[in-house]
Amino acid sequence: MQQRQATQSILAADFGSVHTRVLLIDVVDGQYRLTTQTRVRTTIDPPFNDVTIGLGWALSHIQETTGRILVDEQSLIFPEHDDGSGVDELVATSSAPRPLTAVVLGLMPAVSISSAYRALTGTYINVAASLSASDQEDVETRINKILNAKPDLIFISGGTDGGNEEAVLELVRVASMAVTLAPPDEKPIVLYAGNQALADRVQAILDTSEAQVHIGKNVRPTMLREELGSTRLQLARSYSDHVVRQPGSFQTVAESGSMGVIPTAQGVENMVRWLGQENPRGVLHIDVGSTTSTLIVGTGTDVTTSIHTDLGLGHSILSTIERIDSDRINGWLPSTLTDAQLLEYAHNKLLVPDTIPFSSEELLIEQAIAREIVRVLAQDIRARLTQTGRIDLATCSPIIAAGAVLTDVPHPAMSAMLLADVLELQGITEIFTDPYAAFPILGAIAYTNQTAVVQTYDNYGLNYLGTLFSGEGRPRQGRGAAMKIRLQVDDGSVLEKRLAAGEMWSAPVTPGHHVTVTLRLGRGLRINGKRRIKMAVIAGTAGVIFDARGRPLPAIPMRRRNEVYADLWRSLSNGQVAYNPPPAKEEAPEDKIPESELSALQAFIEKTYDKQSAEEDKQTRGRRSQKSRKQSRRKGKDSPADDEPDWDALLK
Amino acid sequence: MAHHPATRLILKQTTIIRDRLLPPHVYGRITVKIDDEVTARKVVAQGEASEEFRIVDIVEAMGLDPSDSDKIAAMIRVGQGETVEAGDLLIEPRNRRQKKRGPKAPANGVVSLIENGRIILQIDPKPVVVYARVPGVVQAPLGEDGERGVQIRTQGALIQGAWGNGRFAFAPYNMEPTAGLISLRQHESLLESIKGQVYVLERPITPADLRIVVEKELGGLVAPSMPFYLRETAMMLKVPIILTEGFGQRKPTTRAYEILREFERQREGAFDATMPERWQRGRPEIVLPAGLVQPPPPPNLQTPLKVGATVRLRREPYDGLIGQVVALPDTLRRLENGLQVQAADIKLRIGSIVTVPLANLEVLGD
Repeated sequence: MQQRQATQSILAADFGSVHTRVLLIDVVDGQYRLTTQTRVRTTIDPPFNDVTIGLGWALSHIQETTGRILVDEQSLIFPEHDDGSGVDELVATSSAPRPLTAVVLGLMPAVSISSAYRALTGTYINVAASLSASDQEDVETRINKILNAKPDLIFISGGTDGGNEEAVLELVRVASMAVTLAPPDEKPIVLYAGNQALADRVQAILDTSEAQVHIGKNVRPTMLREELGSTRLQLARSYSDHVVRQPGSFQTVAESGSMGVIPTAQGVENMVRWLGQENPRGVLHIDVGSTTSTLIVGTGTDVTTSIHTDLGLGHSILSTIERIDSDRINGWLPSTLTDAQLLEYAHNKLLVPDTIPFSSEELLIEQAIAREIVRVLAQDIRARLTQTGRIDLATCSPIIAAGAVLTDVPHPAMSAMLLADVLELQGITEIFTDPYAAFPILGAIAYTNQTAVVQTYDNYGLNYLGTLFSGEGRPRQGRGAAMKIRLQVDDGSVLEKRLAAGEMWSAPVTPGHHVTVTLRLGRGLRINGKRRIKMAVIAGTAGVIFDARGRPLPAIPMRRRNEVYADLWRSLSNGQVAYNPPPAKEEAPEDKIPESELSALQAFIEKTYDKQSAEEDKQTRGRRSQKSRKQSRRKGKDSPADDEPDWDALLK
Repeated sequence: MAHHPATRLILKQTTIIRDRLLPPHVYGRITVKIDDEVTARKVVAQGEASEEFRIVDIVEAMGLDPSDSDKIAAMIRVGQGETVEAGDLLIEPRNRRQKKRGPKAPANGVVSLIENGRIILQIDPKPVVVYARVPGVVQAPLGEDGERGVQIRTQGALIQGAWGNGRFAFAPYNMEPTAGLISLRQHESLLESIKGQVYVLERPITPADLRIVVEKELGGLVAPSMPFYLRETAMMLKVPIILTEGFGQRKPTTRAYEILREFERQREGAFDATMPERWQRGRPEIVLPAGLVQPPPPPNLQTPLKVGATVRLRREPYDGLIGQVVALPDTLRRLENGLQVQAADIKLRIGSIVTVPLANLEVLGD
């Protein structure tokens, strides 16, 4: 069978903690397009411990729906054949495995080490230690610091190109020794991104340690210039090496693709960097996941990333609840939950992180926690932006939202409301959702096929929710309409609506239609400093959305929340979704945690165990002396121990 | 679209294969061979863990030429992997002065590496052992070098749970006495020792239960649930606490407790209270081994959900109930909260039919 030469069809998979999203991109009418997409459960956990099983389910689904054969005797067909079977390339991203633990080595904290930290931002990494040549520590201390950090990655930066050599080589020798000393299955990967004149010597030193080595370009080729692109690519390769060592059979996936397994966040960063060049107001991507949540913003080529591996609605819910003040979560709920109720909810959700809220109460709790996760991420990003950038999160456009809590909502306009609430969006914002992880996947494809990225994105690779018009300022209550809206749709129909202060509306226009929006704002409200707006937009899955609540958003008293939320749900979903909250309880029930009983019980346990172990020690000493007497009689013959094993010996 | 639900195995008779691995960052080896029959208490791998390395620089101490590798090698008397005690001379002395003042081991340890005239010692290594934890047959070695651990194959009943306190026991077990766990406080019988026995409750654990476990040195507890605020206290216990359902007031999954009742006092059990953690992929489980008889079929894990399948419902308001799939509609269903989801109609054992999101179902392995 004849095979074609050029890469045309790309199978792409994103492995999240809960969902595996699989896309098929192919050339249709001379342009790359997203041809099909599916979502299955990720099978990284027991009893499967193998992500390829879930991938296989997704491929079966694609085969069923498209009739295209992708798998032959349990393996992917590469490349695509003339009969349309198979694909030319597999691209994979993931956020599911444990983050890399890294140790950063560099010459100076303020120079090479800080550049190294900036290079790490798009990867799931926890930096456990950093060592600087300027610390003047001896080799023994450095070795112990590295090995005690139990790193997956040693990242060495330092020395401008053609600059310092001996201090850098000494760091490399220390890294090499640490790798040699690490247990066989746990040898850290080494990434070198320092003085390029030393690259060959660095490689030679590290080769003696059997380290897996990646060499990137110098992150700081001169004192004044920073170059992170090549190192980010090598970090992606290092992450892939790390991922294939983790449980889950990622090795099969990595070996099938040309780029291994790229961190999902790095794929997003690439896309934000690309789109940022054309969007001066800034591009914002928010992903609220089960384990990890990220917020990435960019304008020009500047990208700022906030990754929190302790914030999420499933696997990380407990650490999320422990981090966020319950009053803040209650600030979004129509009834107050006690700390005990929230903690019980979180403890149970942690055990079934992949489940869907069934009741209205649980949906509202998850959305409230999601709002707070976005708030924490935004706060983190704002702190970083004050140091480096000029982006106002409230005016970013477009915004891309990912994560089931943002993509799977009763009505698409509710995702827009959630984002508007917490980011206090102002002006005119285009909002997309990304239920199939097309954004990070396209960012990963960018490493090998930029044409496919541009054409797929332009051909509706994402779910376009619509344009949100948010008035700034404080609308005057009861003095006429806060927004007078007139929509001229390209099918000839006209929609008119008047919004009072505090209202939102999602205009029910069929997605894809061109709409001329004429907007007149009441007293107190402005959009981009104007009270009259006329512009053409395209309707999204949520139609066209209008927010007349004003900014900053007024707090809603709890007694009025059910009424306000019911109005908002009705107007955003055009009556399609009923708001069925539990009856409001303004006063929270009293927490029933028997603190004093618990303290007494814990004291009793400690005391009893101390007493029991003292008795055991006494008995053991007695048995030992008896045994040694017996042994000396038997002249060294050993007897098997008759004690119960210490099952947890490996925990000590 | 075929749907593959989550899995919680609750099986009366199945083949079970489990990995027994040395913990990360422990240096060690396996102590059994393939096809060996092992008891639960058999050590299958052992190793040593150390937190500290010390470097003794022979070149510097002896004033040697770093490039004279032959001379350096001839002088060093210890070999890689050798155990040394504090004060042991590390070189071959050529005179009394070297014997007295030559470089010595700074502490007890193991020689981890000799490189460029430097001896690197792993100080005070602590022994670590890994037990088989279930009786069975050694099936395969694990790790790149085949020395990180082994797979053990066994057969018997398997009940997977929801939460555990991180402990383990292989022990006999009993259902809760009719007079309650509290009745064990008066237990004085010498004929029937309760020490080390695991007790199975069909109600939530209370603070008083944990007190009895410690006081009477019980082998552990299995229960549907407990209040979340007992989590930290349960983690203080040295014996396993396994929750089959979760936290709060939760009803027991009937099938799990039927199996436990059936084998009460007949079989010892491996009570593995693995704690669910973000990056640890294990789950708590109870294995009741049945001896090495004809291997039963392994759990059925990959079959898509079908009409007629038995499923367990997760999450309120049907949490823990078992039912049968009676319809799998192709179209999305709208839940009371407005979400539109793929769902199934489930006939509960009590007779009513409910619509449940597919994501909230799990199959039991049969």
